[in-house]
Amino acid sequence: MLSAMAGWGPAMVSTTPATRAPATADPGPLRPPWSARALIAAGLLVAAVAVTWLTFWWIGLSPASLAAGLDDTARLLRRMWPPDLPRAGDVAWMIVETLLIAVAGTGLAALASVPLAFVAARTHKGPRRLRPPARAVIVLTRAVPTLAFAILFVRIFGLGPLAGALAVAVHSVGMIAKLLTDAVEEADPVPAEAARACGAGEVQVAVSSVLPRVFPALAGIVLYRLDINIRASAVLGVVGAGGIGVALQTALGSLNYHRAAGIICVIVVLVLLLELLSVTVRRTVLRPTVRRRTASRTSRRDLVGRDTGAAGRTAGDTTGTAALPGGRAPHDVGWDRGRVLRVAGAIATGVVFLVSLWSLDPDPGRLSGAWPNLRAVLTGMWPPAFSGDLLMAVLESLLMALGAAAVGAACGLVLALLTAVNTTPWRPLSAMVRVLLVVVRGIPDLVYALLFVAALGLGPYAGFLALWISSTALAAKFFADSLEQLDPLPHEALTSVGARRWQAFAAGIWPQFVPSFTGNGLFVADLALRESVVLGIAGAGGVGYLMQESIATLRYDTTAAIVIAIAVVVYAIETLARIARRHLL
Amino acid sequence: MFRKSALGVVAAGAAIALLSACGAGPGSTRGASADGGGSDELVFAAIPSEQSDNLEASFAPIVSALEKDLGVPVRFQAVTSNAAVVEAQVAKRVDIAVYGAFSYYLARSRADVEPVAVPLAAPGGEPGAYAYGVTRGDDTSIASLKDVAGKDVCFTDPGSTTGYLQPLASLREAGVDVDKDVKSVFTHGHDTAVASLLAGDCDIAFVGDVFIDQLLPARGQLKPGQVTKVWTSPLIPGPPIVVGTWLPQDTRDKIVKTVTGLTAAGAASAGLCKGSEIKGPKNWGHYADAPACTLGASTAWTFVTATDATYQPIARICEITKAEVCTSGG
Repeated sequence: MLSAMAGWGPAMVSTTPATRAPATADPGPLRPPWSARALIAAGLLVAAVAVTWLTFWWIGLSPASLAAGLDDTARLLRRMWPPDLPRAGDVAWMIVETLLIAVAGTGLAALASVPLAFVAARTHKGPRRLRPPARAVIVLTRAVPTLAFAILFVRIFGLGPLAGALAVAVHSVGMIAKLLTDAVEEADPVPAEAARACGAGEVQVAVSSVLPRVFPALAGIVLYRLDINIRASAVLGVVGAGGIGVALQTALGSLNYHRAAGIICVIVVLVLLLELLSVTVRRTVLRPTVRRRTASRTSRRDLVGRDTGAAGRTAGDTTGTAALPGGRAPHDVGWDRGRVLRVAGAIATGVVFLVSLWSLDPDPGRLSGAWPNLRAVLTGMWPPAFSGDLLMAVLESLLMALGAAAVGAACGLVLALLTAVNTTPWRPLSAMVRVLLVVVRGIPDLVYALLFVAALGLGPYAGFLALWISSTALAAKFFADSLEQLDPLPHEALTSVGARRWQAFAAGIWPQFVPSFTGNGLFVADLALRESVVLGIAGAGGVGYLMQESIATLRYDTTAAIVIAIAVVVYAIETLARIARRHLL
Repeated sequence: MFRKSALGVVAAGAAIALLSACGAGPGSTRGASADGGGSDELVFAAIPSEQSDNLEASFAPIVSALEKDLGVPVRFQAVTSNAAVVEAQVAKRVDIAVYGAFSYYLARSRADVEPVAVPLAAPGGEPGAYAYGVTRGDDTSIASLKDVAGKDVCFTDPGSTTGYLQPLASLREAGVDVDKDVKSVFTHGHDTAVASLLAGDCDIAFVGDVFIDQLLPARGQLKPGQVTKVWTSPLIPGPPIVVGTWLPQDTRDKIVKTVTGLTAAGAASAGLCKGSEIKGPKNWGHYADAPACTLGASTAWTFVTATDATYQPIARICEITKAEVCTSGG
């Protein structure tokens, strides 16, 4: 069937009229007219290429010098072999410690993020004046680094896991709420409108019709943030909270690379398990929702005016194997395996979260003396000390972050297409790339910086390459996840009428993917700016270096100025992403 | 349609990017062309400390003195990780570096480097620093290191000589086993160690002398009587200026001559830090309040020559403590 239809391919990908009237005279290549959507997408692409070019020029990229330095990198890698593990008991304790803090922090952040995201979403129909403050909170919590929060909370709660978990929680709110806002905006508005038409209040609409729809995305985001928080637990060393990141930092600080390699192996295994959990959870939670969502989407696009119940049937009828009716009828709310699993999973998650909260061991006695300490820190931040050097450093970091994000997004896209189940050319390859990405993510930025510093010497080039690698891993992860959440029907429909692989991709997947590609791409730029601490490690300066220096030397007025500058830039990127999404979605 | 135009743009952009790769941008480094430390440029790297507000500015007088005496440009690199500096030296891509005494102890077995000079805090003083053990002013339960058993201890960082290794060795010699007898907390900073002590997170904190004697009181973070000094360490070697032995002998000699010939006040009168002079601290004798330049992160008066033997105390500390950070392979 496929081979017989292959000849029809070009007609298939253009538009439906062509397939409907194949017998009439050749209408020539059909093209949709230029639209704002295409112009915006092309504009962003041009901007990305221009920024990348500017960055390459700025850092004086020269592949030849990288190739010439690879011997030194190889020698350094050889010195990391063989990995050496700490005692098994120590490892187990470090893992438990890390997991408890990361789970408590991520859980608290998730609880705070859900209402924030609903209020900040463009689709929110409640009081409008709540939206700007909600967005401001999201941007600010993202712009202020975990380290700054950690120092603030140490002043309030003293050294220990509580300060660490709270610092992690506040910083995570920014990312979880931001990605969840995007998911809420992308969710099909029809059920929410239906619920509203029946007189449901905003909270009822959110809980009953929007939350179930964005739940798979929320689960994915929270698990990914947990992954980030486990890897970022090095920061927690600052607050005396311990964990595996501190052991890694100590090993690298004392140049004990065998030990560092051993700890990295442990982290990679942890992250791999988490990725496995994430995939399983998303598949368990995702399946029924995808069917419901795709059914109602079809109704919105093609069957305007008909009721949704009929749409579900129509979708099932027209698209062959893709949307055969699920295991149970829509009115059946009995217990099946999936529901048991979901409820059991929810209860288990709740129990783990409560245990982790209990492990934080808050000391109420400390709170009484907290206010003078907090006031001392906050008054030290005022007035923010802006300077020309600082703005220059922000600009430099922004340029390198945008460049690294642009190149990282391009590489990440390729890897994501290989990883996502609906685009991968070969399933085993998908699994292999996924594992590779986890390994790349599990290795800390500091190690990449060391490898490139050995090859290239200190400076922006080594820093840029380290940032590029972490951007690639981030982008690949985001892109693969959102590719898997796409509506599978157009792709399957095209495949079923004989479109070739790339044709089905170009017409069935890519147009749907452009909005989240743009949004996630810009978000990677935003993350890269805040991860630009790695530039300081490699001697490339930038705002991350200044931030660390100002915190180390207690120049909180400088810290405040840096945070304000980063917040403004992050807000600008976010606004750009919002405008782009509004036109692309 | 979109895809086609996108491909065109990508192709054009890639071509531009590749062409532009030939030109050098303002941030470009010397790269691999000068592999092995050719004499066209020297790279000077340092790590920020709690003592310096602006690392690059505090090293600027030394850098310009070196440029003048050696006749080659010296590029300063501020780096936040001692591992990165050591690895860059292993790969012979950093010619001159300043890092902690313990970092030097770790680097000496890996990179072809030697210490040439060490900062002197005040005229007529000894090169090096002391570690203090301090308790809260109202706490009289600790009078000497023996009393530390059973208490909570704030150290700064596992890689710090003053804030961890030397106190660890002295505690061991006083019969206190840190692994068994005390609960230890790493605060990752000398100032945070003192703050944690005052907040009650630990009963004794081990920190560098300069923080108790000068920096924290000057910043208003420590008022008289808030802490009591109960222990002073033997002299601990200061952070060395380390140069690569791949540099020609006469270059290394010139570097030593330049840095040991500098004094903070002399550099100021030679105009090495116009506009950013500081006032000499009280312990500079009759140079107190005289205009001076900052010489490195620790505001030194001058530098004196050092050799590998200067750092023998660190090896001895490692012998006593058998600390895990000392025994790293690599």
